[in-house]
Amino acid sequence: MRYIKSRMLDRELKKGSAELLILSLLEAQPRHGYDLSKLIDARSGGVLTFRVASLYPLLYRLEKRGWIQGRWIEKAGQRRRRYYKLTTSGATVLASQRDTWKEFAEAINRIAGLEQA
Amino acid sequence: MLDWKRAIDDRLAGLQIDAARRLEIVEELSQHLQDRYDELRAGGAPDEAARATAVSELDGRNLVRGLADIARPAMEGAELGLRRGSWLADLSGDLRYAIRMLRKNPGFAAVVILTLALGIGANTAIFSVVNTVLLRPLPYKADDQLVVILKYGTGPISPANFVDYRAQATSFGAMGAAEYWTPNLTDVDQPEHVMALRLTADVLPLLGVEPALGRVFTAGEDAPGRERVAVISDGLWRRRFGADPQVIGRSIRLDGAPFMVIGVMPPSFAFAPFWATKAELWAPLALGPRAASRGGQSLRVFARLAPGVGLERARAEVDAITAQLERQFPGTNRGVRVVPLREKVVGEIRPALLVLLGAVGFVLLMACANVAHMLLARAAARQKEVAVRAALGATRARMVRQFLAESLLLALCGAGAGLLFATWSIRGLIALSPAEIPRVNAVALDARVLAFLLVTAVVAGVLFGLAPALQGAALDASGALKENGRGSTDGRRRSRLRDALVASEFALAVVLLVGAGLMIRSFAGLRAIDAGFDPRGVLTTMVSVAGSSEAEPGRRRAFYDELVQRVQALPGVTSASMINHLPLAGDIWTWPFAVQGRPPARPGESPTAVYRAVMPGYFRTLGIPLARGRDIAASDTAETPGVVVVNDALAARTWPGEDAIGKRVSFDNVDGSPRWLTVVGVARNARQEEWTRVPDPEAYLAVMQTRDYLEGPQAHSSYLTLVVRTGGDPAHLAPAVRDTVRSLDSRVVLADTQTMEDAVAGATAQPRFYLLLLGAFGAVALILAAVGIYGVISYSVSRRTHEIGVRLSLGAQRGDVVRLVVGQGMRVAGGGAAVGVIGALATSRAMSTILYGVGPADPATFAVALIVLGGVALAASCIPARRATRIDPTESLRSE
Repeated sequence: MRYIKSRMLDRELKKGSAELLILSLLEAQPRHGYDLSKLIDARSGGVLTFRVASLYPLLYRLEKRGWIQGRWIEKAGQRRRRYYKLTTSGATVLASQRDTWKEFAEAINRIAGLEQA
Repeated sequence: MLDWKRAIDDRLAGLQIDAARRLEIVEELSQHLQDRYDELRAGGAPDEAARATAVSELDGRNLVRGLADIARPAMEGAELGLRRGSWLADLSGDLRYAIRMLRKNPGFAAVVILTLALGIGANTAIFSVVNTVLLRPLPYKADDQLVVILKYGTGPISPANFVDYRAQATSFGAMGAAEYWTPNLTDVDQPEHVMALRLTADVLPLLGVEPALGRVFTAGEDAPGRERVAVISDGLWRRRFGADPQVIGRSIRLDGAPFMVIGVMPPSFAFAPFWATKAELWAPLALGPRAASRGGQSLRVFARLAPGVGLERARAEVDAITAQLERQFPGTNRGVRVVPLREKVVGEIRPALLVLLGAVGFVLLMACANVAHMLLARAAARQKEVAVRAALGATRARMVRQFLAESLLLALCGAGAGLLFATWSIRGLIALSPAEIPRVNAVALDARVLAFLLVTAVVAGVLFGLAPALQGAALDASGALKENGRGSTDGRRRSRLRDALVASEFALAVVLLVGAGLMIRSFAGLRAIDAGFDPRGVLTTMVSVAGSSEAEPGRRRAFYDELVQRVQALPGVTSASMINHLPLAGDIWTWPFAVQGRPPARPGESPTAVYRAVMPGYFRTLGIPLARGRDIAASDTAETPGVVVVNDALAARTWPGEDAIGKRVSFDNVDGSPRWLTVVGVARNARQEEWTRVPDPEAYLAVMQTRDYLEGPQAHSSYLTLVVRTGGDPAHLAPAVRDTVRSLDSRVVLADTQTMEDAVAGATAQPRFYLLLLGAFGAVALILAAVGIYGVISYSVSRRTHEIGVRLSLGAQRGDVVRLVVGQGMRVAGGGAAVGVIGALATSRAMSTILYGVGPADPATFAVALIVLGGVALAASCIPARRATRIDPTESLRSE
């Protein structure tokens, strides 16, 4: 994996998978943007990073499509933050994207023979 | 938190994102950058580096590209008044925002739109009348060059004088004369009395209107023997000839004589425009031997000014010719005046219509004041919205524009609804309008009326929108946000403006109520006039023998006698008679007469009297009391000495202090050997042609002793009007009377069947029309003023709840509170009323031409108007005042 970590591949893969990542992370609970970026960074072991400039346009796009919904929430002693939660249609999309991604990954694996390696 | 706003703003600058959204984005990204900064700092990065890293992650181009597809069109930004965009986009944004604001509050919008619809609609309706009657050109070519030549500017002149003017005057390109004519269209299924004019051949060509079919008269067709041709109106063509194009060349019979139809005029054509306005047929006027007559004034002269000749020159020339004719033929030719045709047509009605237009304009102003006041109250309620927008950087001008967009939208909706209201009221106006208003049937919405509607709406929108817009936008943003809309700063200025609006409503209401009051007084005066006869229970119908065999000289006497007897025998009829010209509804002829034993008067200076010819029983039938002597009797015939009944006015003027009975006068052959008529009775004065005019001397001759009516071949002597008195409803008698006439001769034509009460109503139709309109405007004014004062006082009470609570808790009595609140209302109303009185004094003078028996500054009317308005102000202030007394002091203080 480390060999193919070229910038280009990174970008293409991120593009394809970014929606899936965000939706997946919101499945369990509502999160705010910074939280999402930290989670992606942490869970991917630093392989995937979403900076401000790419994360928020994506969130807004998903919100516009109605897959997620943002809401300002104030918690005691904190500045208010915008939390995003998965909508019902977002959940449907997530399920279908998961299937697609799974099929895609399996196909890649079969062709590239990664299973045998 | 560090300030990230600028860094983010810089990167968003190129995007069109709606302002609220943009603020959210900035906040959210700032939050993120701050978190990132904190994280970097916690990791040990120095302040500068942490900051730079966080900002660098904004990576401008990616962010912009990524946000591009969530950026929405500029519209929404414009709505909040932030973006400087194209004017059109701003406008449409403003309007969309306005629509949304109004939808939020449909009740408010409905009330405003309804108020405006009434104001704008009523204005449009009245303007459409003004437009058609006063502004639209007459249906002739270059109507500003057309003039009429009339005696005293109103009456006809004699044929010989017309011939002289035509021969001598050089100021006119063409000149022709017209004479009234009402022939019977005979030898058809249903003979009909037709309004017609006899015209010299020049008249139709000088009007410059082409016929729709055929041709008009050619020169020479007005020569005796060649005049048997006729041009008909579009209406007559459709009604009687089924719009058959083959009508040209067809022969029709008028009073039994054959005429050939040579032309049909277009639908828009009407002639004459100020008298004989219902003429449907025009035939040549062959003067023949009458061309030399300086008596028998029956011609109205129409002329077109020669190119380059002004009215003044034409007037000077006609005056010179008149003076010369007066020298040659003393007494035959006085006061002949040249009047522009347009002036003649609309001159009399203009002041009245302008009064109506002014009054309805006042109604609209009041409606505007009311709406402005409602918008002001609403602007106060919208302080927070304004404050938010101001905080977001909307300029004051921008917000004024937004407020104005809302008022304009309201005004335009009002105009739309007003258009419906106008269409509906125009129909009503036409139906109610008196016959004296020329061309009123042609009143319709045209491009000019629609333009008026639009301009009125826009002006109204700006008018009622400007003050609230300025006030609303002038708000102190931070103040309003802090105060959270309680608005102790609602302030003196704002309430003063509201007071001023309501005061101005009261001022306008005074003017309108005084106008309505003057009209009511005036109409009451008209109603109080003693007609001199009793119109109740009287049916009248014109009976024309022209064209029937009853027109034969030997048969008329028997026909009239028989007709009256048979009608008298009808069940329910108490008496019946006939007269040549019915008072108030018929023609009027004024004839000179000679008095026996007096030296002959100088030419033109003979006394004159209204000339009536009656059958026996006329006075009893119409209910005119005889002061002295007797009625015309059945025994007064051609074989017995001539008799006459005169009215009080003639008796008093001719034989003051003497008994008129037995005196003798003569109406024919004033200069030669007179046929003397002996006065056998003196009747009480009865109204003659005009309801308001004091009766002139009048003489009633016996039909049976008047050769013209028994034998005269002329159309004007071949009809009489039957008058029938009944104990029941006269209208129910009409079929029986018609059948009676038919049973005698089915070719005798009946026309103008009406009750005498209708004739009286017709004579007062004009003032009634004005009364109706001004009364309606006055009533609307009263309602608007009441709503206005009620609104302002209720609003004020609601704002002063706290203050009133304090007063009550400090021991003020309920009565004090009522006095406080009502006093405020009365002060506002009083101030307005004072200004209104001055305004009414200044404007009511314009009404003097339509008033009767009451001066424009009538103190009683002013007093009543003020009392009524004062009562309305009191009542309207009392309701909120009572509400104020129910304020619970503790409750109101707690709400603080």
